Amino acid sequence: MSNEAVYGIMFYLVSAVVLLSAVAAVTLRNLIHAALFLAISFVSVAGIYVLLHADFLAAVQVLIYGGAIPVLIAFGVMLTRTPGAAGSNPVNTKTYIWGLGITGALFAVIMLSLLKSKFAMQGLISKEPSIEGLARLMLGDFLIPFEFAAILLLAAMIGAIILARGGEAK
Amino acid sequence: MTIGLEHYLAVGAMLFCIGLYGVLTKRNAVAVLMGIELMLNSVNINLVAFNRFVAPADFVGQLFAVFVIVVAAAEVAVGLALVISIYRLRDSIHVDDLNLLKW
Amino acid sequence: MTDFVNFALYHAWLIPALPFLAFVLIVFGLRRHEKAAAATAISLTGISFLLALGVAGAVFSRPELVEKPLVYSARWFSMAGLSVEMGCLIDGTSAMMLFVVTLISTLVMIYSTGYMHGDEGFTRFFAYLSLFAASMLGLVIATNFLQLFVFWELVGLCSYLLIGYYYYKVSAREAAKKAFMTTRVGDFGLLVGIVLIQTFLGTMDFVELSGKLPAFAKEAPVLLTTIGFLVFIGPIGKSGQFPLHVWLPDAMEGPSPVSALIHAATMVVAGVYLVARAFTMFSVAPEAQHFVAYLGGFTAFFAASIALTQREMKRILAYSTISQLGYMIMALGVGSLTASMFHLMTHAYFKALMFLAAGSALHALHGKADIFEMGGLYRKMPWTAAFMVIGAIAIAGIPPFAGFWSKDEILVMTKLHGFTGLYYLASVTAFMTAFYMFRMVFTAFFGKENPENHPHESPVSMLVPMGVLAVLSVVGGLVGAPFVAKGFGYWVRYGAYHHPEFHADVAGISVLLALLGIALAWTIYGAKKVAAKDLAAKAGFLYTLSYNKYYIDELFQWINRVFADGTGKILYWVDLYIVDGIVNGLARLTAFAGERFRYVQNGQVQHYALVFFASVVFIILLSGLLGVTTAGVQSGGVAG
Repeated sequence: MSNEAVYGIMFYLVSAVVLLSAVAAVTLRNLIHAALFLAISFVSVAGIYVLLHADFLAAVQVLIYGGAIPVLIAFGVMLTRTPGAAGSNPVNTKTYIWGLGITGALFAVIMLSLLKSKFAMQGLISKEPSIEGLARLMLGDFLIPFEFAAILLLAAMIGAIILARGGEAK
Repeated sequence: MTIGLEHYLAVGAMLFCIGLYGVLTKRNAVAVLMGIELMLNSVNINLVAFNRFVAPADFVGQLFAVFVIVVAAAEVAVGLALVISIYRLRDSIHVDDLNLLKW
Repeated sequence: MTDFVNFALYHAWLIPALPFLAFVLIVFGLRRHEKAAAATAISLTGISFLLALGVAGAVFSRPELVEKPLVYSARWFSMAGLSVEMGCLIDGTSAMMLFVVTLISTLVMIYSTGYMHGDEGFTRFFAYLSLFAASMLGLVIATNFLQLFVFWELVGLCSYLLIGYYYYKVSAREAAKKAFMTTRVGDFGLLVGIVLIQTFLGTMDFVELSGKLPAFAKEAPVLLTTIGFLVFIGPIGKSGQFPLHVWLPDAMEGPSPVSALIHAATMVVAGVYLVARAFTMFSVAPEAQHFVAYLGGFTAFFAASIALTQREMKRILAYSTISQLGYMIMALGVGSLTASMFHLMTHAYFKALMFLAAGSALHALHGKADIFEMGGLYRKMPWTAAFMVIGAIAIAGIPPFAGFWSKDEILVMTKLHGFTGLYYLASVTAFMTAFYMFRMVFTAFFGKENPENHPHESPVSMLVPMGVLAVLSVVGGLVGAPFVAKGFGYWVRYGAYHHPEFHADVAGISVLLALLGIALAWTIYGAKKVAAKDLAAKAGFLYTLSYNKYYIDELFQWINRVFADGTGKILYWVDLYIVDGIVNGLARLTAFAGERFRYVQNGQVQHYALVFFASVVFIILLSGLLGVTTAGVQSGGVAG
């Protein structure tokens, strides 16, 4: 098998895992199961990043989406007890039909415009490790947004603590 | 057939729509937040794919993906805190029960 | 001396500016200081008078100014195709007007210190007087139609303020409104005329216009005549020509000094002055000019015929003013700027004198206006009576008093220019003038005293200005007498200089008619040989017609009731049901829509998200249908 064919197989495989587990995450009635499939989906997205030669991003994805966020969500699920895990993720019957319709329509128009568009592709360049380039950008041209992101995270952390403590703060 | 930009974009679109479906149809607020996370991931896939195929000489696309991850992390933290806060106040986390802002 | 004359000539803008300064000072600083306010107004206007004398001296030392006016101006604003300037135009005519206006204004102000003594609004009165004088002076030195119009409107405003000075009296308020609205009709015509001038001739400047008009008259005579008519509507309103004269008698509601100022020096002669300034235009538009002549002549006769039967002293004077203005307008119409301006000047002297004398009498009688309730005033008020008699002789046209020379000039010019009909009409008017004036004099100042009255002579502050005017009423006409070389007509003229000739026939007939009028008045009202009541009964219909001023006011009232009120009613209905209906309907629609649509806000966040993404789909589809491809909106490294 050529490299290209291997690449293709890998792509379809990873994509399939991503999409199927995502579907499971939004359809399963048990919220704990849904969260588990969500974590699987996130980790497989890291595989897509690897296929796209974004190694640093893949690592970040695994760390944050594979680790931190599922834990947060698990905490969220546990702290908001619902009677019985089986029915913990019900469907909103009032918006179900419309939601499905609009989602389908949106997907249709995106695919349609995707098919009609042409992109100015450039040849794939064999690149330096992406972590070096990212580091140069983060501490260079994008230093200020980078610092802002740090402030945002701090603010979010404080906000989350205050909100979660709630009435006891008084 | 070579795997190109369009393939990744298609995956991104599908993931986005799956996430959107979750956001629109779930009653549990935590599930809605999960849908939002999926949508954000699909955006990241698009960013990295464009970076890879259209402007490979630079890493700006990846950098933006990093920023999106940062914001998403902040969002999920605050969002879950809100959910917990609401749960304490209203004893429910079903979004269709939350209509304090109606007319 | 020469220094001062030159200074005055090149700083003529100070002449209107100083009274205006007085106005500002009084309004913003001296409202509670009566003596200071009066002193400010009088001294600043007095300085203006001195400057006006200087300007007159400058014109005398530089005779070329008569032919080529001195113009200097500053740009007010300009835009494409329109440049408006404010400035001074000095020639013989404007110098003469500056002199007359500042003189009368100063005298009236001095007189007012006595007349208005103790009045609540003393300072307000002087503020108005100053502004009035400033406006009129600004009008006199105007270099173009727009500047003239601005001050023209200011004069109108001041007259409104002064006529309505006793604002707590209903009649004064009504009279003020009437004056303002009636003159407004004329102002509108004038404004349309000015706009047409700017549109078709491209300039409003008097000097430039006089250059362009002769060629324009050949090109578009009909248009020029139309413009002439429109411009003349302004003077019809302002100078009280038929049929817009109705405001002028009612304007007597103002204090007497105001009447003197309005009727002698400012407001009403503004119209005459406008025609004089636009004389170039009328001289090349013969139809318009003839109309001016005949309307003036008719007004002179018409107003005199009303004055014959009026009973209130100031009303008689008011109608006589209208009549005399008719003379001036007629003189312009027959083509003699000199005669008109000459009469304007002498009329300013003797009419101001008569109004001040009338004011003195009314002041003494506490506002009793009917001349048949007076009588014998000369015993208690010898000076006032003497001044009134001098004024009456002057207006009647007995030589060598001022009125004789100017009226004679008008009559001569009318006859010489071939307006024989008008000449006869004017002569008859002169007879009537003499009659009604001496009717008033004999009735009010001579004859039996009314025991109810306790008149007293006026204070010196009122007598002195009258004295000055009396002297001028006697000798003021000599400057234009035929035996004076390079007299009035040399300095105030349009076109070539014609030395006034003495026509014994014209002068003789007019003097004879005047004497006849006086004699008749003496017979009826002095010696009471013939009872006035019997005459009135015999004349019957004519007497009633004259006494009721030909029912012109009633006619206007009727027109107002039928047309204006009718239109008003229709518009009221339109406003009530259509305009308000639309407005209220919109409001109700909004309220209704809000009532219905508020249920869209159901608080369900997922519904909002549904609407949001449905809109996204819709917009993408729409842009696709409109041909905006996704590639088209991409940028950077991505291209379609």
